[in-house]
Parts: sequence; C-alpha cells; structure tokens
Amino acid sequence: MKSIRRRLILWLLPGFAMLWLAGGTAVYFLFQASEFARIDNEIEDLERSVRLLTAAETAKEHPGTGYGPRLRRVRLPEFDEPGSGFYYAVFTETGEPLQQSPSLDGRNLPAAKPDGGASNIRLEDGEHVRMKAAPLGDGRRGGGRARAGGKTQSGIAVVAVSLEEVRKSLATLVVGMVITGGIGSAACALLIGLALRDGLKPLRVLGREVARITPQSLSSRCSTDGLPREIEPVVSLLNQLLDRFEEGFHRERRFSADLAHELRTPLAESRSLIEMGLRYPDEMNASQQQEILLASARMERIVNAMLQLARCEATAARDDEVIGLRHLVEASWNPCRVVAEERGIHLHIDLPPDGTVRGSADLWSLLVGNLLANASVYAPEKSSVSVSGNNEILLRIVNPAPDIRQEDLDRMFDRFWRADQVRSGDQHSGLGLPIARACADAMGLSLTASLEASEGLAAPMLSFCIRR
Amino acid sequence: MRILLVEDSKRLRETVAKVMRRSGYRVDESGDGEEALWKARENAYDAIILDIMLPGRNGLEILETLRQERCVVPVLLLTARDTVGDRVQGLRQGADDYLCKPFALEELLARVEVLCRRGYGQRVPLIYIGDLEVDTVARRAVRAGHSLDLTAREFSLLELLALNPGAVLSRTRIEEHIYDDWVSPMSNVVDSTVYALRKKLAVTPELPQLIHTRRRQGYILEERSK
Repeated sequence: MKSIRRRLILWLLPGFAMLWLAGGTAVYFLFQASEFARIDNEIEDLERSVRLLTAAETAKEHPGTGYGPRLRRVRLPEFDEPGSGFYYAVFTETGEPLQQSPSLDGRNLPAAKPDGGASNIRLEDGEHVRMKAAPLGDGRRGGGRARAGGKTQSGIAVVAVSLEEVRKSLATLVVGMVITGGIGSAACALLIGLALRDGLKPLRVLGREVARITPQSLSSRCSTDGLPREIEPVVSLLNQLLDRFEEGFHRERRFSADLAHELRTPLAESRSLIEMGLRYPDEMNASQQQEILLASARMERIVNAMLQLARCEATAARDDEVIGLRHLVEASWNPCRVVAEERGIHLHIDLPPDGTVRGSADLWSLLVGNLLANASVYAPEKSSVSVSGNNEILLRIVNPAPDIRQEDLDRMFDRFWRADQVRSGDQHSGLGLPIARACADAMGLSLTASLEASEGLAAPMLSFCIRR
Repeated sequence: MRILLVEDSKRLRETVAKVMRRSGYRVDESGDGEEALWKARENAYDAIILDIMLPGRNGLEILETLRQERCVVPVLLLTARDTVGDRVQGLRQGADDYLCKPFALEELLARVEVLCRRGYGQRVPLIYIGDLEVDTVARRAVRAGHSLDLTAREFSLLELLALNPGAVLSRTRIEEHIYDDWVSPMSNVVDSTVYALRKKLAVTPELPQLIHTRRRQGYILEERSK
C-alpha cells in the first residue's frame, strides 16, 4: 500500500535538502567572497606599505636616482613575527628572490607577475595563503628597481596573507550548515508527519463514516461539515456515488422482493398440487399435472419478464437505426392478433407510409409490443385501438379504458400494478407497462399515459404517447 | 368444521379446498373480496383462510370489517406478503394467524385445526368425554380402549359434538358444519350419520350411549349416569 506520508517525505525531504544545500552553498560562497574581499583590502594596504617603504628606502640612499645600492628590509611588525599570517617577498623581474619577510620562517613565497589580481596558493608546509604581486617602488612606471649581484634591477613585491583563519571559519560554517541541515531534515520529516496527521484527520473521520455504511444503511451520507475545502469535492462525489448505489441497490432489492412476491403464488400452487398428489394419489390425474405445468409456465413468464425489465433498466440503447413506424406497429400487433380477434378488437393505424423513428429496433419492438398487448387484453370487447403519430408525438396508442381512473395513471407504470390487482390470471404479470417505460427511458424517450374524454362514448380513452 | 377459503388464485384455491375437504372440513370457496365478505357475514364458519391481495376488496379490509362487526371467527391470513411489517399489520388488524406462501399443506391443516379448536375454547387436541377420547389432530377416536373406525363425515360430526360437550346442536348447525356446497344435505343425512356414529360408539353392549336426542332441538354428546 502506498503511503501518502512516505511519498510526501520522499518528495519534500530531498527538496528541502536541495534547497538547504543551495542556500548553504550561496552562504558559503558569499562568506568566502566577503572574507576574500576583506583579505584583499588587507593585502592592498600591506602591498602599498611594502611598495612605499621600499621606494622610501631607495630614495633615501640614492636621492634623485631612484636606485639604491641594496634593498632594505621592510620593517612592519606584521612581517616580523613568524606565524603571524602576513608575509611578503621581493623578487627580481626574472623571479630571483631578493628578500623575504621573517614571518615566512624559512618558507618561500612563489614569484608572480604583477597582473593586478590576488590568488590563493599553498606554501610548502600546506598553509593556504592569498597573495598578490606588485612592482616595487611607488608605483610609477619604471620606478621599482632592485639591486642584485651588484646590478640594479626592476623588482616585484609579493604580499600574502594566511587563509587559515578564513578556512577555519568556512569549515565551521559548513559543519554548522550540515548539522542544522540534518536537524532541519529530521524536523521537516517530523513536521510533515504531524502536518499530515492533522491534515488527514478529516480523511480518517471520513473513512470511519464510510466504514459504517452497510447495505442496510445506504441512506446514510458523509457529512461535509468542518471538512477542508480540498476534501469537500471528494466527499460530495462520494455522496453522489452513494446516491447512485442506493438507487441501484433499492432497485435490485425491489426487483428481488417483487420477484419473490410474484413467484410465491405460483410456487404455492405447484407445491400444493404436488403435496396433494403425494397425500392423495388418486387426485393426481392428467388434469392436475397440467395445472402444475401451467403454474411452472407462469413462473417462467414472470422470471423472463423481470429479467427483460432489469436489462432494459440497466442499459442505455446504443443502436441508432431508422425504423419504419407502420411496419413496426404491424409487426408488434401480430402476436396480439389472436387475442384481439377473439375479443373483437380492431386495430386502426393512422400513420404515414414513410414515417420513421430512430433508435434500437429491439427496444422499439418491445415498447410498442407491450403497449399493444396491453390494449388488446384490457380494451373492452368489440372496441378499437388506434395508433397515430406526428412530428411532436412519435407514436400515440389510444383505446377505451372504462376501468382506469385518473389516480391510476401515476401507478400504472409500477411493477406488478394491475387495475384490479387480480393475480389469478396466468397470462399477465403486471410488467408490460414497466417494460415499455424502461425501453423508452433506455432510448431517451418519454412514455406517458393520459385519460381523455371520448365523443359519444361513456368510457374515457386511455392514451399512451411516446415523445422525444 | 366449516371453513371459508378466500384466495384469488383459482388453482391454489381449488387444490387447498380439495385437500381440506378430504381432511374432513366443509369448505366454502371464494376468489373475490366482496363475495367473501358476504359469505363470512351470512354463514357461521369455524375459521376463515384469507388472502390479502384480492379483487373487489382487500383481505385486510375484509378482516377489519368483520372485526368491526364483532365477528370473532378465527382468521388465518394466507398471503405472499412476507415482511415483518405485513405480518404485524395483519395480526394487529385482528388476524389469529399468518402463513406465507408457499406453504406446506400439513402446516396449513395444523394451523386451521388449532384455530378451529381455539374457537371452541380447546387448547389441546385431545377431548375426553367419559370413556371416549377424541384426537382432533390424528382424527382418531377411542372408546373404552377400542379404536373406532369412522368415516371422515362421522368423525367430523363426533368432533363437532365433542367440541360442544353438553350443548344441544341443531340439525341445521350440524349440516352447516359438516356439509359443504358440493354435498347437498338431504333432510335425513344428519340423522343417518348420527345413527351410524351411535352404532360405532357402542363398542360393547354394556357401554352407555353418549349421543342423546333432544326432541325437536337436536343432538347432545354427554356422559349420563345410568
């Protein structure tokens, strides 16, 4: 299982470490640059002193010439004490050493060209220094000269300052940053954990609420009170999901209950007949066996109708065919023809020959077939069923309905609803109209029923209209 | 025992009625609520088996109407509605028992027997009158240790008399309880059945007669001292 805490820590800790590293590096180099600038100023001052002192010495010994018989040692307290960290050396232009400060204590500064910049080097004993070279004298062009081996030459003064203190400071800074970075990372991990625990608390509460929802309590919903804004949409969607679950579950439960209820009577019939046969074998004749068969056939019809209804309710029609209306009505009337003729019911079709509808041919057939079957059975004997259609109403099926009342219209699409609630008939399960409506719904159509007064007839007309 | 069986499923109604008749009950049938209410009002039944979903008038409405009219005949609701709410509603509305479909015929018969017995204040299925023992469940009678070989109608008559010990039962009442719509009672059918029953009860010559005639009133079952 993936942990949000682990994932956040895996992302945030390296991020924090990189930020810390970048910040620390910036601080390190800024501090270093600042120290180098300070040291460069010191070097500048010392170098200026060295140049001025050597220039003053030369002028004193040979006034007006600019050349001295020999180079005098610069006497500044920083250069006298060994290990003071301040060094200088004087070289001829060819790099021969002429003089070194006592503070070098036998070590050597390298000769360098006076290019104006300071550079870092290591002395023989490993001490890091920052040094700068400058021509001897007062800085005037050709003014710096030194005498070596009895000859007067131009000279270069090299001034260096130890970097050991700076390096120690930088090392301390690095150690400090590593320690604080480590502590910061640990603190960051801890804070992430605490923040997550606090931030995810509503999710835990939500989880507990969801865990309490059972098939028996599907009407429960998760509360959005006090939830963070970020979680509210999730909870709203979860509640919408529960709405759909509840509706589906309710539908399935109603299906099971309806099915069980409707099957109980034919089951009781079969069982009673069989028990009677076992109890009184002389009663079990061919007629009784035929009755058992009829009861079984009734159960089969109910189960098939319920499954058909469930399929229609559960799926949306994908087919989009062009169906000839007249042919559809005629084909759907054929299965009802025998019953209709026995009852003297006449079908009157008032549809244009080229009238068409779109949708699934199977669903249309089921829809119209159930409506016509309903009319053929429940319309009064010797009456007529008329079918018409126009641009607004795709199909309208009308028949006289003396037993239907206005209040029945709301309930007639309920499963197993019958006008007189008689279940004794074997042929009708009370599922025809619910199947018809489910077919219409599946194709995105509307199927409605209404009662209309009829001219010259006492019975009202029951009208089923299919609209887009 | 005379039973009214109200069930809209013709197949089930006829089957149950047939079995009950063969078990010695007189059964009137109805598949319509209005007709059932009329029959219940007009006739004296020992029990009513009542479906709930009925054309014409709902079974619960019939029950409520009967109870409002102070009809105390025991009613067994026989229905496909099996939820606790349905059972509670049915029992609270005045039903004495509730049986869901599908059911075992044996169970239905047993429950109807209990209801009929309860109507006569009998809690146990054994009725003793002197040395006569009548078992209403086993539908068997024993006198002085001798088992009686009775026809269904003779047993029904004996059961009716035994359930009303010491009470005079008129021929009309006996006819009502013993014969159903399918058997047209002749004027002397009750007398001939009583005669046959008396003969069978006299297992030995010295045993006293238990069924006595009350002139112009009817018959009475009781043990009289010699």
